[in-house]
Amino acid sequence: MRPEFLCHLPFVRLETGAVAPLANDARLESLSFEDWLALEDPAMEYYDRRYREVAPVFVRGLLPDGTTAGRLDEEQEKAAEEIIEQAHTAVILTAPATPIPPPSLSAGYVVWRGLPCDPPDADNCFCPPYLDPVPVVDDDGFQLGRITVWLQQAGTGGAHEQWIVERRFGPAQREWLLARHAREGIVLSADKVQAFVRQFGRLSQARWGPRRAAAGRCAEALTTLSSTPELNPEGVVLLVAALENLVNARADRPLGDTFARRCAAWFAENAGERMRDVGRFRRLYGTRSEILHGTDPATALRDMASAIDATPHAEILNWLRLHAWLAVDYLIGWYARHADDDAGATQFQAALAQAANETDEEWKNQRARIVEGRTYARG
Amino acid sequence: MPEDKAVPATPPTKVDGGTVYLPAHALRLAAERIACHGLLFARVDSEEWSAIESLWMTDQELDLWRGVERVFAVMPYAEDASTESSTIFGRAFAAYGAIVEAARLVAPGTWIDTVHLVPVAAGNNGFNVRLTGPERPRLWAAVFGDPLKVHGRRRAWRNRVECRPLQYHLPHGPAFLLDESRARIIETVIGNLDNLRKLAPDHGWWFANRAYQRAHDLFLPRRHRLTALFGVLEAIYGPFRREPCDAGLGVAVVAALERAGRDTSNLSAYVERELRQARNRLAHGSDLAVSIDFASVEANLLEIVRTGLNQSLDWICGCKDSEAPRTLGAFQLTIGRVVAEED
Repeated sequence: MRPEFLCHLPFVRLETGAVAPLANDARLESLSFEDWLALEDPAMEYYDRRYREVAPVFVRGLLPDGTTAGRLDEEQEKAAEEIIEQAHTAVILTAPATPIPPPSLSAGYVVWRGLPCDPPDADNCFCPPYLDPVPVVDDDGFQLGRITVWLQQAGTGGAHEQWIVERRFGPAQREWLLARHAREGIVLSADKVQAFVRQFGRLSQARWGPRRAAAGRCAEALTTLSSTPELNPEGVVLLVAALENLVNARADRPLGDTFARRCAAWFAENAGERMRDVGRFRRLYGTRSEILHGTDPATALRDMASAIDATPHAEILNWLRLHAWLAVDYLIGWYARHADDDAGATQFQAALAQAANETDEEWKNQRARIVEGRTYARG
Repeated sequence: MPEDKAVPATPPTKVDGGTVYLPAHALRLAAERIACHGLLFARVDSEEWSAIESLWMTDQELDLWRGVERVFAVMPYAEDASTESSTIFGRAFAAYGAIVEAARLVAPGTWIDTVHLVPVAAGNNGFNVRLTGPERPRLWAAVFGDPLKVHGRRRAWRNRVECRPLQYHLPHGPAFLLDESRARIIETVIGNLDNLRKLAPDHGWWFANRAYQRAHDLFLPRRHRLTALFGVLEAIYGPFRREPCDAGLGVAVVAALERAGRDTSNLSAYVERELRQARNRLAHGSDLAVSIDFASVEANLLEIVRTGLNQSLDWICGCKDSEAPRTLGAFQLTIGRVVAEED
């Protein structure tokens, strides 16, 4: 029995209310009130009007078959995590300037449908008397609350059947499904929905998720950098850490110079940019070090601004966001063509290290192969 | 002119004043009411809660929430607070924010930042004004401290029947126990912080403290919180990198925690091995194949960093009037570090 996973995307709404089919038989949709209620506490029927006003958007997809209805095994948990990461990353690639909270802070549902109805016991109940807690912290480090219930109700075909629903709640629980302020946020137009569908397809092909852990850090850095209009010093540290993990995980010395040469070899579009970018990424690494070692970041950020010809902090922030976005975009293309590369992107690192050591002419050829499958070029 | 009976003889009196309620999620009170820094922390029963919270919110999961202790920081006000832009919220946030900043330096536990709180100004005129928004979820269903026991039940509704087994809702974070003694310590720390603000408003200690406060944000993923914490660790105790004749970070941490009377067995090795490995994972993304228990790293780091922040705060504030403010580098010398300037 393949359970379905429904992942709420907080503060995302669809302009048309249409259902958009996604890769791997998943779909993006404003989940109807009736479909939501079927997963929820029957008393939620009172929230009809609120729910319809918010029209929450979910990505829903099937998980692999498992052994026990009512509890996900390790493989199923990983598949659920992939849906969360692919959905969240597709949103931030589609709307990079919009702060979208991680779905784990809100609500999600795992549902096993079409089970035969168990007969009630002496107390008229048809569920086990007790469930052991599942101490799971998701990859983002948010603690999820889980409530599992057994329901007997009409199924899709109208016949009475048994469902088991695991309700997964982050700290905001149902608030972003029901509060009127949840209508704020981004409304995806038809074009944006298509962009989301495209990105989700690329991410699925790249098998984005925990098995692409090193690349996922860049998406996480992009989320952080997009979460506030101000430049947060931790955002700089996170982006450099994410990039360094991809360009120099073996810690080849000197760290700052190696980081700068390889980042330049990855992001520059021509020889002139390559030379200029070495200085910029070296300064970025220096800024990260000063922040990480507890120096007041204001001076470091001023130097950084001067290195990239930016004046206000907003320009530095945009520059950082751009490179986080490009890294994610390029890595999706890489993994789509190199499915056997590992979570640490070992093959990618070797290819980039080699390209960074080449003369401009040979570098250009090798780099073209590294970034093949991307959707955007800098400048 | 004949008296118009439809018009009252005197215009209705405008009623100002009321009480601001700030939810203190995760707070456990050792007494019914505890005063701290101008706010009164008190338990609110279901009846009072339903008077200040929206029905759609209080009606959710009634059976789950019935036994949950709800603590608010309460502040009476005399002025008009009929709009969301009322200054009363600013005053309440200022007092509450100072308590949060200090409390995090006093003991472990969860305090929600004022930017995420939903305060209510309950006016004497019977109207409530509430600040809500995407950044301010109510959090009533969030669980702090012990796991929440969710009782088994059967609920039938039209043609649906739901059966729920007995189970536990695991916590979203640790609780904070507030008693009289801690309330007084928090006030003392608020006073110390004010002194440092007057003495050295741009001191490097403030950068470390800001990062420490960010590391408590429940809405940030753990990796972000840890990145902030490692920044504080190195700011206070010096970098992981070791100079010639330098005792190193592990020894410095032991020196500080011994002064605070903490158990320091195996601490130096823990800092130099486990914390270094976790820090390198975050800073350079290395060793992805090695499994690291980041939850315990976070708890231990918070303890180490809290001790260091308190000691350095006392040490910096302990300078004579004629002295220039003492630096964090000078503090590190007192715990055995020899720190060179960053290249």
